[in-house]
Amino acid sequence: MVKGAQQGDQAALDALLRRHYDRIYAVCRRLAGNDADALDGAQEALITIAKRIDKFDGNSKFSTWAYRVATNACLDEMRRRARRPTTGLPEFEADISPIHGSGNGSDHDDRVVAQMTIEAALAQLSEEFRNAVVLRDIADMDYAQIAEVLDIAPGTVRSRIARGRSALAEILGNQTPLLGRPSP
Amino acid sequence: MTSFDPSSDELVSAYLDGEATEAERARIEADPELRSRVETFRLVSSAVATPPVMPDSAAREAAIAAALGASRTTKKVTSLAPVQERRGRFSGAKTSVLSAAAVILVLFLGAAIIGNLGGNDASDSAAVATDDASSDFDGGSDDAAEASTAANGLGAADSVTEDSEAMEDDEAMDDGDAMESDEAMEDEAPEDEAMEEPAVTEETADDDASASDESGAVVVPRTFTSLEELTAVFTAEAAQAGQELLLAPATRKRAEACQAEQDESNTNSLVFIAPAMLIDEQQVSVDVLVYRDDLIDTDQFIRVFDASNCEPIQ
Repeated sequence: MVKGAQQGDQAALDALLRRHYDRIYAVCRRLAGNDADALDGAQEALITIAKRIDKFDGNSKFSTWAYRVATNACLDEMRRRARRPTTGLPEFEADISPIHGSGNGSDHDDRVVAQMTIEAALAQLSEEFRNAVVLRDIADMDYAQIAEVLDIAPGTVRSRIARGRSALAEILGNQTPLLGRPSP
Repeated sequence: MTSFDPSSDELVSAYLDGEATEAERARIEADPELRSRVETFRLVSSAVATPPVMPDSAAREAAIAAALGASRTTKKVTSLAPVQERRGRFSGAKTSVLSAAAVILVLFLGAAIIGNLGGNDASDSAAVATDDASSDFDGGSDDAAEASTAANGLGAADSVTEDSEAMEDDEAMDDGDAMESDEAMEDEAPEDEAMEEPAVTEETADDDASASDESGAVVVPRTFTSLEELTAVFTAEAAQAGQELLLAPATRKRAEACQAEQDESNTNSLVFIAPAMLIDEQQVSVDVLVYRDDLIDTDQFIRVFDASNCEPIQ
């Protein structure tokens, strides 16, 4: 499928993008913390993957490569937005794109609550900690890959993830439904 | 609130991630407190890893369609002549910065791209000039004059690329755009020729049109003084090509808000720039940039972009 996509097979590319969209969106959502930025970031990521798929050399799993590209695209999107403030202009982030879950009823409500809770907790982390934690826990990257994506030393990755988790443990510690129990 | 030894937390976190050494693992497994901490971190990790509620399928389909369209997009040198024509509306540094914005737009697009919906309007086709000054745009208005020097090269007649390597310099672009630009440079077979030639001739433009037709995708940067003008022009051109114009709700909402603000103040304080059209067979998605005149001095402008959740314009 990857080879087909690299050779211009649009159906193969479509299938690849479709297969990886959910994870890419999830990474962007956790990094961005809101739906509008996540949607933009995910779309930028897909566009980048589509444009650069011929650069994939097969030395790693496609998913690893794709998530790395996606992460960079999402982070770039966030940095671009950070450099271009909307001071003085109306803000519509809150009502741009309501989230539509696939489920219904209380399960969906619980997921929404859990999402809001974890995102609120992540939002309290500094960006450097948040990025490291998200890349590890959502994108499932190892420390070396995270180091490459964030352009920091692997030792720094290890430290940031630990400190991020430690902070999250404290933040979430009192929210037993999500974390299960308070941190000791 | 209990505090934990950061170095221990590093061990615990690394252990959880399978990144601990043998000695570290042994230490943790022998220490009940550290094992307890591992469980706490495991819960945290699981909470973070819980998949978020996904967007609706329309967003997914729009993103995939945009990516497929982009994969077919032909990247060409383009004209920003319309920008230059409208520069008279602005003055001083504002004009300069807007011009610089136009330059950065070209960089943002990942090397310049040309085409038009029908491939018939060769008048829009021209080379675009860039130089290293454009890379300083993010530096703000202090760089306006220098950036303006680059922008003054825009247009069909006097477009000159003074340093084609500027397009290859990642520092000259936004982080994420660098990749696209690299890509553009690599994808474009006649790239060197395109960058070195001062202008694209009509014959070349025809070639571009053919390429666009073949690829099924074009990108057209043009400026408008209102959202209505922008949508009217693109809707008409899309219809001419048998396509439907799509504008993402978020894009439309923000652009409309900007338009409303402009109308309320009874000024022409905004310029709407539609630099990209992603064409996917029967649909066209437009990215709209809205520059606010009174913010442009301080390099504060918004990038309105969202091709997800596309809905037809009423």
